Amino acid sequence: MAPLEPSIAVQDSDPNAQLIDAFVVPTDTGSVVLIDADYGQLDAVAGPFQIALYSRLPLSMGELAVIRARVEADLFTHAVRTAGEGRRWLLALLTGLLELGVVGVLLAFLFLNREPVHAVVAWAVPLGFVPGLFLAWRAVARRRVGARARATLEVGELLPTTAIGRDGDSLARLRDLWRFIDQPNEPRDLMRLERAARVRVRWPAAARFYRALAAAPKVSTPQGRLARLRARARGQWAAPHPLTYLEARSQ
Amino acid sequence: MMNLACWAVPIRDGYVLRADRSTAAILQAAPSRSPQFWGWRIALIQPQSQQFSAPLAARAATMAVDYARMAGDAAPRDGSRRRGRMMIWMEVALGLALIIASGGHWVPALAGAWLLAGRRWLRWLLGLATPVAQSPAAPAQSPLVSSDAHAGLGRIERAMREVDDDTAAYALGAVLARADGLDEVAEVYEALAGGMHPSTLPPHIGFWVADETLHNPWRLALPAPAAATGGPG
Repeated sequence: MAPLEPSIAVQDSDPNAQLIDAFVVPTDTGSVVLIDADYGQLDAVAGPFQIALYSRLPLSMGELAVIRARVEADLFTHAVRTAGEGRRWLLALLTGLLELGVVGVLLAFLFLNREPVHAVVAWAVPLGFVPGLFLAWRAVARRRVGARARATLEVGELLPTTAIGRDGDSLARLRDLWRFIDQPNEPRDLMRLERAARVRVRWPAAARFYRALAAAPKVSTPQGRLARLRARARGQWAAPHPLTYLEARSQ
Repeated sequence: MMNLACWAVPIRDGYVLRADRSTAAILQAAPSRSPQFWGWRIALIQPQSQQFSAPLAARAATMAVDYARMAGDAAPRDGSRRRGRMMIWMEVALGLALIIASGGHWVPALAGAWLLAGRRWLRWLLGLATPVAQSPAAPAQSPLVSSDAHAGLGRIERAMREVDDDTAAYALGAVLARADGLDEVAEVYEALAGGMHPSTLPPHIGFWVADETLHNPWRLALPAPAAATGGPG
């Protein structure tokens, strides 16, 4: 039997690559992967995408492959969702101006004809016209994000290799976060981590991430024999700080 | 090429194969992407032991992804379409209300007509409501399959090997997998710990590759996606 080839290991970043930063950060039960990247700012025309990994311990190739697949899913789902925004934004702006004109005429009519029967008109203005104006404003405001998403769908590719993260600021933030959690007598708690990320490390993305993690529903435990076996096994086998809780999240 | 992941979950007699939960999202986005990227680079994630030969891994991983692709067609869409329908109904109701309340004045009647149909007609005419172009995606290149060892999966396999009772071993595997955040793996072990035989696993949980099949990949058969009770991955 010929064995399969493993993927290419972690390496230096591609010089043209758009780096997507992935951090292995501590949690109350172990560690998770935090993707600190604004997908709307990535420009696929400038080069392919590549994950830059910041981790104090090396990850196995399988873990890297899972991170890559999750980031690929996040990245292109985001691109599909935002690709329609800002398309033909000039026409959308003209439509918005036309709508604004209709609202203006309607308000002038209300001002000149104050009759009880026209109360329904006063209700219809915010309910009926604000969404249309919002659509026009959004098309103009998000035209660049939409253009980048369309470029991602057209030419974007996530490289199959993972780069070692080398940004000094990012390394320092990650080190400070781990130092905080490694202090003796410091209980591992998501809200303490959130405060440390916000106040000590000044890392807003990590603070948002911990808040979201604390608010996420926990996995329910099944009842019966399986639950008892689980409880027994948890005490006997569970590692104190597992490293492989992988969750890719975009900001 | 698209980077996909496929789990090879070690069990007592072989492996359970399933595509990672990201696969469904990647394949749903594929029709919007340029055809030059319609190829799969599948990482077969397994414990340290290299049990899979190249042809078996290629066939099994492709089948797992194929299954996720077929089952993904029936996956529920997000709520944006429902919100869009609600908006249309609200616009129609407000438009009718304005026309009725206009009492013969042309200004509210015009505003009502705009809400009733004018806005949608203009957006359709200018192409502002057209969705992003999609083409039916089919892999244009043969898949590239690599084998990648997963430290967490290896740890689980080693821990399970020390437990004699099958059910207890699977329960232990489920606990360790949940603790490591490997939800796909935990679902497999939970199903097996619940007394299910690997050959009767529901398609959305995965399909069984018995030890004897490891030497004959062409014996693999995929369950029908219509029998799926939940989403893949």
